Amino acid sequence: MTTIISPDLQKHITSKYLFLDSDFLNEIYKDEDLFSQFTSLVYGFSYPMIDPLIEFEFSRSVTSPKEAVKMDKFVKSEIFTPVSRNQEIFVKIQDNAFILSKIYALHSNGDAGKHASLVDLFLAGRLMTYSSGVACVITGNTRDYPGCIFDVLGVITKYQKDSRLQSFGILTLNQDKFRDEYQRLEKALNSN
Amino acid sequence: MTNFPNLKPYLGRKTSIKLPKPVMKKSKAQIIKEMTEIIVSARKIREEYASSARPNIVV
Repeated sequence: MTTIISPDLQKHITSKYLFLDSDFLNEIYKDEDLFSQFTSLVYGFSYPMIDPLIEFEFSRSVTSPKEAVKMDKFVKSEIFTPVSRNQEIFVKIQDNAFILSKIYALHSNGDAGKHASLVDLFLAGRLMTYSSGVACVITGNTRDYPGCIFDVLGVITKYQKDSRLQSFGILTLNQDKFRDEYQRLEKALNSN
Repeated sequence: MTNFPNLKPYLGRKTSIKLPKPVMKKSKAQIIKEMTEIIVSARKIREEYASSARPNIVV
């Protein structure tokens, strides 16, 4: 199988925290070639991270106790940087997720982040707590991280056994876009 | 009316900070080798599980 990585992606993610969405984590857990390509892309350049909620989602796909051991070893690999589990940060993430859900719901085209799950909202909320442009997310479902808030840095495309292409976008939160959307939301809520 | 005005986003700094490049104890080749073993063995476990005969649950 072939993996195609967009040019300059390594430059865009260098010295950044790279959060894995559960679909991408599942994919590299099942495909050693994709894992190898991904490791070559990030090793010594960026910090791949697994949010506790993503780990929770990932561990739910276990088939047997034997596999649970393998999954645990996989997420504890040195390639992944530990994520802060501080309760104080979690409260901030929760507030951010709540605001994002309101922004998505009230966005003008009515489709932004429509399908974002609770875990997606919390992951986006975590990205917000980092300095501008420092954190990004890699996901197979870019609609969960809509363009009204996020910018695309690059794409990883996997050529599958059945000849289909599966793409994963690398996105980062754009603070200017967020501030515009937040102001719009405040206006909308205060006008009623 | 919601209590929305009291809810403020927690945004990181506007200016981007420069993180140092990560340093790892294990080499890239070693990580790939170890993780490939885990991925392959996990696949075997899933295949064994899928092919094993399990009783049908009748409700």
